[in-house]
Amino acid sequence: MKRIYKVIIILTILFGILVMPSSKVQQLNADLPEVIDLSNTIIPSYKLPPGAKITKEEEIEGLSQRIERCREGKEFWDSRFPDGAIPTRVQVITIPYGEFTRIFFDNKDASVLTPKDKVYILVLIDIKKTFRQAVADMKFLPPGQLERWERQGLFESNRQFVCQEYQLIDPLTDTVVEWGYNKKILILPRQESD
Amino acid sequence: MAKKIIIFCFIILALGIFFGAKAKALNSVKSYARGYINWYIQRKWIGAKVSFANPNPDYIAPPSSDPNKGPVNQTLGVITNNGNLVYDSETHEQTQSWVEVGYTKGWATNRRDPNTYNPDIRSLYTARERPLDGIGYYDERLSPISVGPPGTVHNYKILYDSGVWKVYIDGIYDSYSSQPLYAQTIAIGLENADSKNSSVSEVSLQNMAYYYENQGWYSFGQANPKIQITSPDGGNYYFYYTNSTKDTAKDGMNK
Repeated sequence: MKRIYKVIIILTILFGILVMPSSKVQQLNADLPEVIDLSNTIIPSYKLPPGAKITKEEEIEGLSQRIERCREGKEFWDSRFPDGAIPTRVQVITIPYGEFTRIFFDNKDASVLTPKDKVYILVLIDIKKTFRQAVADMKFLPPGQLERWERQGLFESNRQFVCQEYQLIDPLTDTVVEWGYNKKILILPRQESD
Repeated sequence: MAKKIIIFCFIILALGIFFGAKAKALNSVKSYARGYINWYIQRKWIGAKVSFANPNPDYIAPPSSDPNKGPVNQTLGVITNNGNLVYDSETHEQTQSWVEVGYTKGWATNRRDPNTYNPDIRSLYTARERPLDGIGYYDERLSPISVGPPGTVHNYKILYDSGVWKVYIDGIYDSYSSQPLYAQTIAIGLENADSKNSSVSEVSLQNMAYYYENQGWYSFGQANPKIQITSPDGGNYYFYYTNSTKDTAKDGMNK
């Protein structure tokens, strides 16, 4: 008799898994993002070009001060989402463009007009976001994408996930020239001066 | 014992049905207003091009204090990988691969400054999403190619070549993205985050064409008639295009 019960349990579990959409099965198993830890790697301390308007240290200081003001309730990290979270981790390094595209895109994506040896300030910001918050930062989406996500019910969920934003700052203009949203959590290599 | 087993079975079944139903649930979220022409072309094609003049007078992008803040842009986009959806285990989203190029008014400058978004920046840009091969990302990039004053005409082209989608602006090879063949949809038009923005006028485009593999460029210039439709809340518009050939298209407003 006990054997029959065991068979019933196994069959029921298998049936339950089959009934769940395959994506939802993955959802239950994948609430934590994959982390790629490069912190044991040491890279050179790449020098910024002469005439740089901002340094790595100033960028770190500016971000630290802003996060502190957010913690004290003096401002919101994102004014559109007053209930939004504050970054949990900020990483800043100097990096040549060619290294950036190698680490982030495995060289499968790049500007060909940007010299590979041009040094930028790279900022990574880990922050918990709802899906709605993440989408609000995506400026250029193809047609139909938002409706598709609506149909998937993604905007309804208040579930938060750790989002890692990156910004590539041109030190000569102090402007972000490339912005993105990495689908993995990357812990950057240390630099010789760190 | 039998009772416990039956309860256990019910729980498993209920979980399965619950998650199945939730995945299909609709909601009433309204987001960006965007005007597009979408071409759903049956044959294998690997490129698209169009010419836009920079808006003149220029668009006025919403200020950073506006909850609808965001750029206003003219865009050419290609959805790649045959339009296949790729599941992302972190965000739980299903996303397509695409490549985009165009003109933008408005850009986020830096997170250390609370006013991260500057509505006055004018630039040419490229963007892409690539939820593939475990290196998924969404990426926006300013192009170093000169944007020129209002009214300047730019020729935008996205073409698959040597294993990558290459983006050209005014004949200059700007960037590439490695994404699979084939193109599913061409998107041409306006992206506008603020539905009440009266500075946003009809997109003026010329020389629309798509590239059939092993054949060449085919003009979409005979797309007529074009009907401009204004949405009930004003400020928005979209286009409806038809073509006498099999390749017909209807744009939509993602709102």
